[in-house]
Amino acid sequence: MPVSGASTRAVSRRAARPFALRGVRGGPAGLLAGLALVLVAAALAAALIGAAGIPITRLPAVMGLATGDPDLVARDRLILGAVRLPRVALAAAVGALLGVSGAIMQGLFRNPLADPGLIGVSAGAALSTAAMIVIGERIVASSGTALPLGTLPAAAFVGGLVTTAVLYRLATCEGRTAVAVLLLAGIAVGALAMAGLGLLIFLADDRQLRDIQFWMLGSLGGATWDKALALAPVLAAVCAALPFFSRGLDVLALGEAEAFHMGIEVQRLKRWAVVSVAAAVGASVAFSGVVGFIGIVVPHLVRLAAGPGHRLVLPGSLLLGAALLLAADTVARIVAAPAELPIGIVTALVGAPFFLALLLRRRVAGL
Amino acid sequence: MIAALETRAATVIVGRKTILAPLSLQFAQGETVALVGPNGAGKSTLLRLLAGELAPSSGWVGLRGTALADYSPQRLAQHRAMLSQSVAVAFPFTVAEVVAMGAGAAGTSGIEHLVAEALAEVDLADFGSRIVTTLSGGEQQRAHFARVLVQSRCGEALYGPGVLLLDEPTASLDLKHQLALATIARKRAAAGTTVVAVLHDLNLACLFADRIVVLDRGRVAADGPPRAVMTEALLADVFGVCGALGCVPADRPFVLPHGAAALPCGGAATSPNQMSPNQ
Repeated sequence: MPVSGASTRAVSRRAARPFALRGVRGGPAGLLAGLALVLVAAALAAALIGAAGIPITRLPAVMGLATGDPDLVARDRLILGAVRLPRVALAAAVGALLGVSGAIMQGLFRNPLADPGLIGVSAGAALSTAAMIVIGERIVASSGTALPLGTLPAAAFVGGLVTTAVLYRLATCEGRTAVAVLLLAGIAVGALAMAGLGLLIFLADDRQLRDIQFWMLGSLGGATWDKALALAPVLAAVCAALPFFSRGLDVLALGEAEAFHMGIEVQRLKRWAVVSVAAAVGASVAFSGVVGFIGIVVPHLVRLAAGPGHRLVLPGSLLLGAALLLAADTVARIVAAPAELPIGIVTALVGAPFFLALLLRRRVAGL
Repeated sequence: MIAALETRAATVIVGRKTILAPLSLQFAQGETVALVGPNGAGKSTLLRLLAGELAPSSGWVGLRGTALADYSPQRLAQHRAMLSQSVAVAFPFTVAEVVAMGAGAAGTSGIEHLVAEALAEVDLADFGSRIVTTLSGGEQQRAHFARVLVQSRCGEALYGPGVLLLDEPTASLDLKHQLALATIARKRAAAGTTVVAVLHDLNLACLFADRIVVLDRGRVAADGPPRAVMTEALLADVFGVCGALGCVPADRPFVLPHGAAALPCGGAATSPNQMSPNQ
């Protein structure tokens, strides 16, 4: 059965929610509309800010709503269409997938501190990608051609799914998944993947090392429309699944036996939750490398505002995840301009202290 | 008449250990049954078996004549509600949110009224907006009882009176709320719901139930109305205590334990109707 009561029990100040929106005008729909506005603002900022800045006053001309200097308009359109907007789309999709997979995972594990990285999905995806870089290239190089495009994303995707499937088999016995075993097995598998990565780094040459570093720290630098579009089906599938998760994950908060008593097909719920998380995380690692902490920070913030009900937490995490990763990417692009920080560093700098603060609050609350 | 809930030679065997020997029990509609017995007798296992949470290792368990295994979890939840021994809520849900979870997937109209009514019944009328993990143990238990009541009522609206399974529902309740819970459960039974409760307190069991099933090491040691079941011999044999038995009111025995059975109890087995309370 689940992890000990003390660690799964939720943090809560006495009685009230800190920023509960209950009773506020607009209610749940208002909250989601607000988050959508935040997302639009973040997208706008990400599109306009950068090495070649586009003042917002030039936007009407770019959109063809006003007249402006034709040369300037052409330049702005080129920057937006070829560089900024694909990156905005990719960052939003990756952020949305990471945010929502964190929310699903925390519901599944009945623990607000769980993260997709925790069960080793990200590590597995990163390992298979690095293996493709180091070993795959040697095989291909001997035949005298370059590594085919799309190989690395496919490797990451397969790595994430295989890791999840192995973990699921390890932790499932007689049709029941022991969450504690799944978590601990995830730590072990993560360590194993890290050892594998270490071995690959030992074998890698200088250029391969830099490529592996990209996967370990994460970057949205290589964004193209093709990559963003490739994420669209995964995003659409996860969005379509959300309504089916929300009641199940709510009731699962009371325990697996209680969820069954209340009419949930617990095994099916858990299986689909694991598959969704694997697909979402694998796909996002494939196109942006390992970007940590979005999955922890985002659902927590949404829960502070909306309460723990998954009917709001899941779509809210989708929207806020997209907005937060857009903001983080904008910071990563401008803070060391003209160079770019790996986005994983930015999210870790914000996310790790946030995570520690969460732990500290739980300790203070005696939980 | 088809029993509301029935086991036919159902066993539960884990590894090589037999938790429940072949049990054949029938629970009629509207019956109030207390399952009692010493620790490890298999009471909770039997309740989980009746809930469909455990499948029998052999034998058959059915609800209204249909095997539990043939119900989908959702259909089953509309026919039986169960209150577990202790429930830890993982996220800071409010009491009202937890109680409303009992209503099921369909956004039942009038759910708010149903929740408010159940909360008032368990004496938590003003606790709806409190976060459930901040309540005391007894208050949380009452909140979960309210949730189970809501589930039972929503199922009843669809399929008529169902089954209510309670696993030590009074474990952390004060005396007043223990009696209040027993009264609510009896009211549900009077309206046709079959109520089966695991109880530790023999006196509460005698007061609450029309029928007591005594389990001992996975077997039924006694089964019948409280006055027939509660004997000094049973107390000594099954529970290992000496106790005096009396009756208040006339058809409801009570137990006053006064020592472990290793000590001389004095007197042979006597049924309570032959004894006075102060013997």
